[in-house]
Amino acid sequence: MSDDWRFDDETPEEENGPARRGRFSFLRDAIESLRDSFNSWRASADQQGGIVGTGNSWADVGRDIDASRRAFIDAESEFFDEDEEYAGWEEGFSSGLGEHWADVVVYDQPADKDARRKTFASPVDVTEYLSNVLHLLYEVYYDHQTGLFTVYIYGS
Amino acid sequence: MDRELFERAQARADKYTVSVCDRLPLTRELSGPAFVGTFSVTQQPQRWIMETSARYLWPGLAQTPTEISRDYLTIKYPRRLRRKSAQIDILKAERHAPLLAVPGWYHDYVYVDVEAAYWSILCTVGWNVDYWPFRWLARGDDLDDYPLPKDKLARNYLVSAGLSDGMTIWTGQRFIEKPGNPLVNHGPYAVIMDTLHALAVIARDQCHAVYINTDGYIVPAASVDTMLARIADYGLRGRVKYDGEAKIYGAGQYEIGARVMKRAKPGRTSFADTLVRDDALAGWLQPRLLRLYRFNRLG
Repeated sequence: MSDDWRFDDETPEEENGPARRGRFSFLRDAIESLRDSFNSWRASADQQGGIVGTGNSWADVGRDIDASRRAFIDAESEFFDEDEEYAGWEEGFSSGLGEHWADVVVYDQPADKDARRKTFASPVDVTEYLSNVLHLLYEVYYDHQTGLFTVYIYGS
Repeated sequence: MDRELFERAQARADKYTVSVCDRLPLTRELSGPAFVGTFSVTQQPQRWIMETSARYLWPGLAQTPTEISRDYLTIKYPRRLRRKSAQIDILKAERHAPLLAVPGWYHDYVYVDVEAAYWSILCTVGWNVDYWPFRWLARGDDLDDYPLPKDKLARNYLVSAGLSDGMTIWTGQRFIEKPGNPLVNHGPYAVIMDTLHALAVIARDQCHAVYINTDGYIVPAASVDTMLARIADYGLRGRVKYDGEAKIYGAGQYEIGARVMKRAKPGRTSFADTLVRDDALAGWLQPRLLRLYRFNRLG
C-alpha cells in the first residue's frame, strides 16, 4: 500500500549515532545558507505577483547561485577543520562512505549522470524540497543554458 | 531495457498457455480462482488476451498493453517511490477531470483539444515526477525508452498504473481485491489533472467555453487563437478538431460540425460544472511546466 512507504526524516537520535547527528546538523546549516541566498530573489519574484520565472529576476539566479556555491564551500571547509566528531565518523565509514556523505554544494558542472536526479524549474522549489526531504548525499547543479536546477541524489 | 522486457515476456509465455481471442471468458464460465483484467483473464495455466488488445513487441509473444507498461515501470523503478506523508495525502486527494456544460445552441464555435494531453504532460514531468502543489515540481526521468510511445492505450496506462490499489480476483463465486501495488504513484495523475484544470479555467474565463471535458473545449471561433496560445503556454499543443454550429445538451451530449454524440438529445439536457476554481495553482504551475517542457525539448 502506498502509505507504507513514506519518508522517514524523524529517525530517533539513538539510531543515527552521534556522528551522523552532527552531519545532519551540518546539512541543515547548509540548507539554511541556500535558503538565505535565494531570499532576495524570492522577494523580488513575490513582488511581481507571486509568479516566478518571469522577467529579469530569473536571470539573477545565476549570480545568486555563484555566491551560494562559495558560501557552501567555505562552510564545508570550516566543518572539516573544526568538527572532530565528523572526522571520527568519516573514518568509521570510510569503506562505504559514498552512501553517507552529505554534500550541499551547488555545482556549475554536471554531476554523475547515473545518480538519481530531480530537475526543478524554480530555485524556490529547490529550497522547499531540500528543506523538507532529507538526503544524506546530494549535489545541486545549475544549468546556465536551460536555467534549470537538478538535484543529484546518491545512495538511498 | 529491451532485453529485460523480453525476458519478462518470455517468462510469462513459459508459464501460461496464451490464447488470443475475440472475447474474454465470462466470469460465470470460470469455476476456480482467476485474475480478471480489462484486457485479459488468467486462470493458471491458461491465459486469454483480447485480440484487439494484444500487442506484439516480439513476433508470437502476445501481451496486453498494461503488462508491457507494468514491466517497463517495474524494470525502471524496482523500488517504490518515496514521498512525504503530507505530500502523499495531497496527491491522493480526489481529483476529477474538468467538466463544464452550458446547454444551448451556439453559432460559429470550434472544438479544440490538447493533443496527446496525458502523454505530453507525462513526458514533460516524467513518471517519477515529485510534485507537491505550491511547494515543488521536480521532473523525473525521461520516457524515451518506453516501448509503446505511439500506443495511446498503453501510454495512458502509465498514469493509471500508479492509481490502482490492488488486483481484482474472481474466486469462483465473487470478486475480491488483493491489496498492494508496488507501482503506486499518484504524482503523474495529480500533475495532469491540475494542469487540465488550469487550462479549463482559462477556457472558461478567457475563451468563453460552453463545453469542457477533460482536455477538450468548445469555444467561440473568435477565441480559438487565444485558446491555442494558452495551451502552448503550458508546453502543450492544441488542435482544432471540429467547427460549426454547436448544440450542447449536457456532459457527453453535444453536436458540433461533423461530431454528433449518440447521447445528444434535447430531452436529456443537464448542466454540469466540476471545474476547480483555483487560479493561484494555475499561476504557480504554468511557468514550471513550460520551463520543464523546454528542457525536455532541449534534451
